Formats: sequence, C-alpha cells, structure tokens
Amino acid sequence: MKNNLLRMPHGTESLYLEETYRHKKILRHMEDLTESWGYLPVQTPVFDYYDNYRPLLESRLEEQTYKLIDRDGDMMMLRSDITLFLARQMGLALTEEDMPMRVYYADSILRYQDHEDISNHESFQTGCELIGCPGIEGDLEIIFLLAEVLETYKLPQSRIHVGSTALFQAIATPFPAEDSRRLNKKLHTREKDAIRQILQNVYKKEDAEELTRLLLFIGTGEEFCARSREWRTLLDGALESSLDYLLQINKGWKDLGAFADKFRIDLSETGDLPYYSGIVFNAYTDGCGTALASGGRYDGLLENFGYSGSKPASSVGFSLFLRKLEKLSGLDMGKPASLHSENENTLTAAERFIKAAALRKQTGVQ
Amino acid sequence: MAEPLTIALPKGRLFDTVQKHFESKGIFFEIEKRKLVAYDKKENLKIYLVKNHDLPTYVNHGIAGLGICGEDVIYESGHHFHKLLPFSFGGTNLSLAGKKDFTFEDNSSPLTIATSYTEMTRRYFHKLGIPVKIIKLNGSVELAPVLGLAPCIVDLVETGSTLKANGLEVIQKLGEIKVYLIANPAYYKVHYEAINRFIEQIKED
Repeated sequence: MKNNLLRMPHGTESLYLEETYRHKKILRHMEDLTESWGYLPVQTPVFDYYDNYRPLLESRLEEQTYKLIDRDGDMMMLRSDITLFLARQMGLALTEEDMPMRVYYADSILRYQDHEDISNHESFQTGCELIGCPGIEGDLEIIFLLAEVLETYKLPQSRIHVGSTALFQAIATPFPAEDSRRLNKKLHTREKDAIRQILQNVYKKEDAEELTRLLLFIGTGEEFCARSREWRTLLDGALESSLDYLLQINKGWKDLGAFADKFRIDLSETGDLPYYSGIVFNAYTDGCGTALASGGRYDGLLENFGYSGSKPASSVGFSLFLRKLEKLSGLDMGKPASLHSENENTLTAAERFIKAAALRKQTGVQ
Repeated sequence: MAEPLTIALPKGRLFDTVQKHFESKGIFFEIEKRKLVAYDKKENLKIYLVKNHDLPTYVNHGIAGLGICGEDVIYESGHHFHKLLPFSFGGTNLSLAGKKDFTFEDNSSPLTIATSYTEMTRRYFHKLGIPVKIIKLNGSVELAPVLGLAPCIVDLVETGSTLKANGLEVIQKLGEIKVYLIANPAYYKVHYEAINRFIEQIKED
C-alpha cells in the first residue's frame, strides 16, 4: 500500500510558519494597495457547475481543472481560475446602476500540475476587475494599477507587454479556423519561417513578410510609433484602428510619466483565452520562468453568465500568481514577533498575558 | 556590465558542432574537464552543460534562459518554448523502420511500435487516423523487431547503418527533425534585446 502521508496531491501546496507569515504580509500589501484604488473584495465559491464554464476553458486550463460528480450526478469543477468564477457571480448580481464596479479577489485555486511542474506556484491567484468602464480609460487604469503593484513589490526588472487581440483577428480574418489557430500557435513559439509561410497562403509575399515582422514586434512606445506608420497602410488600412488604439495606450502611458521602463508594445501577445476581446497583456519579471501576471479586456464575458442590462458590462482585469511574486519581492516584511523565547517559556500564563499586552501596546497593535 | 545570457548546451556530438559553430561566429569557450558551467571569453554567455533530455527541464524552469536542442527533445518534453532560430546542422529524420518483409497488411489492428519517441509517434499516427499501440524503450530500439517485441520501430535515422546491421530498413520517413535555439518565453520577453543581438551573431550565413 502506498504511504499517502508522504505524498502530496499534484497541484497542492502547504505553507509553514515564516513562509505563511510572509505570504500573508505580501497579500495584505496587495489588498491595501487595491483598496486604496477604490477596489472592493469579492469571494468566489470553491466549486461550481462545470457546464457553465466548458466553452470558455482553453485546452490547457481544461486539462488542469479537477472535476467531480456531485450527489445529483452533475459534473462540478474545482476553482481553477477565479476570473471565470467571478464573471459568473457578477453576471447574476450586477445591475447597470452598480457600474463602474471595481473588485479584487485573492484566493486559492486548484490546478492539476505534473509532478515535474510543482515549482509553477499556481496555487494562489489574486487580481482586479474593472467592470463597466469601456475603452481606453478602463484599460489604462488596470495597466497602471498592475504597474504600481509590480513597482511597490520591489521586484527585479519587470515589464508589462501589451498586445491586441483585435489586431491579430484583423490579420487572421481570411484564414479558416484551423489555420488561424496554427498561426497563433506559431506566434507563441515565435517560429518566423512558419508564420511567414502560413501568411503567404492568403497574402502577397511582401505583405506576408511585413506582417511577420509586425506580429513578432516587441519594442518601446517610441519604437512602436515609428513602425506603426508603415503598418497603417497594410491590408488596405484594415489594421489602422487597432494600431491607433495601441498608440493611444502608449500616449496614456507616456502622459502618466511614471513607470517609464515598465511598458512594452508586444504584438505577439494575442491572449490564450477565448474570451479576450481587446487589449491583452502579460507581466514578466527577471528570475521568473513564466509570466507573473496576465490580463486583458473581455467585454462580452458577463453576458455568458446571465447579465442582460442595456449598458454593456465591459470588463478589463488582471490576475497575478502571488506565490511566484513572493520569492522575488524585495519588500521588507519584517519578522514575526514571537512570544515564546527561551526565557518566556519559564513565565506563567498570567505573566505571559501581561507581557503580551505590553508588547502589543509597544508596537501599536490594538 | 550587463548580466550574461544563460544557455544550456547538450552533452555529446551536438555539443562539439555547436562549439565549432560558435567559434566561427567569434564566441569562444572551453569547459574544463568534469566541470559543467563555463563563461565565454567575453562573458556575454553563461553556459551550462546538461544531458540532452534534461535540457528542456532546465529551460522550462528558467534556470537556463536559452538552449540548443533537437525538435525531438523539445516535443517529447511536453514543454512550450520559443523556437527562435533553426540550424542547418545536427538535423536528422524520424522514421518508421521494420524487417524487410514488413507490410502494414500483416498486422492486425492496432499497429504495435517500439520507440523512445512516444509522443511524436502517437501524434503522427493519430493525425492519419491510425490507432497504434506504443511500447516505450529507452534505447537500442532496433532490438525490438529482432527479438519479436514489436514488428516495427520509430527512431531517429541518420545513415541507416545501424538499421541495416540488424536486418531492418526504413519503411516510411515521418518527418525531418531540426536543431533549434530555444528560449524560455518569459526569459525572452525580459531579455529580448540582448537575445536578438545574440541571434544576429550566431545565425548561419
């Protein structure tokens, strides 16, 4: 018989003592910061009916989701992504009068992870959602908030790479669904020759060449401004509005005058999730083998979950894997005050009570 | 001075080829006997020498940001990387091989194949709609048809001399396997300027 005391179910994690203390402090910092921006906390259920989410799960998340059957024979899924659970919750509860609504969440998620992948640290997800604030203002608020999160956690070199699903869709429109998926896949692996070949199936050779350069573009706002002038005329101007939108994002960032080196336009960011509808972004930090945070705009998502107001419940948000960040943050979280030093163990319970009260008074804890 | 880029190189034959190629592009390094870490002379690269099949694990975890290895190793690892630059050297073919008298008709379904490349084999035959039973072996797969474990094998074939020596021959070429410069996607995003300069330096003429 296997000794289950020595085994850990895949995707679970236990924290101990000082590590838990640091985790809680890091979380509190995030909560304080987001609340200072006017965001309110929400709590989602641990499991829900799988059928509600099935069409919106991308294949990797689908594979990582734990499923179970309840006593009525319905298929349930354990919370593997809070954004979707939150959309279901808000879709039913939200009214037009409530908008714009600013919410944040922070909770455990359960994802199956291969035993070789245990260092992915995807067990705790936190994030923010801005609902009912369409367009550039909403997009900029969420990106600025994420930039401030990264800045205040004192991380190593970190950048937010902003791309556009609309731009990719404008290029991929003439392709059959299978080729469009293949193009996106090759873009994620940055296989230049394969991307060019797929594009050449539909576009002229010189257009395919230029579109390949466009799709693989990563650069500063200034670099993007310079290149986008050449790209506006491509495909009879079909890309113009998406390019202009990214130029507006860049201008908003520039006008803010903060977090100068934290921003890149990255046209290879097209978003993995089927519900993205506008900008998409990922945050990367030196020393972290995967994206630390990811997000984007998903304007139609709440309609999948029962929202039917006349004013669209446009949404933009990000989620952040807090456990990845904890290892890299340079924020001083202090050390837990311990009552049980060697000397204090000799005190009676009453003496310890008096000493604890004095320590609380000394450190300003109520 | 900027931090050096980290790159994992595979031990064995491919290592010698990569070292020669790097030298032709002005990148010089030596790995001392029994050591597994080295810097190039200009200290632009920190090089880790790892086992071929472990290379994707190091790059996936971001220990090495870059790596050089074959598509077979990438695919079998199941991890996703940026495939930034294909090389003309080190390429080979993934082939289905069997005894000279092997025919598909001889086999009652499903076809049994012995291979070290289980994922690529399964993907190839499933794409064709052919059900296969796969037996995983870790090497010397040519023995499988000889000893009767499976009627055919899928393996990397360069010259075909090992097949011939065991009375086997290529039945069908399944695909070309190239060697790539790969990158951990998050590492590439943080270091893309330095990596693009590195690609310009090492790309073949």
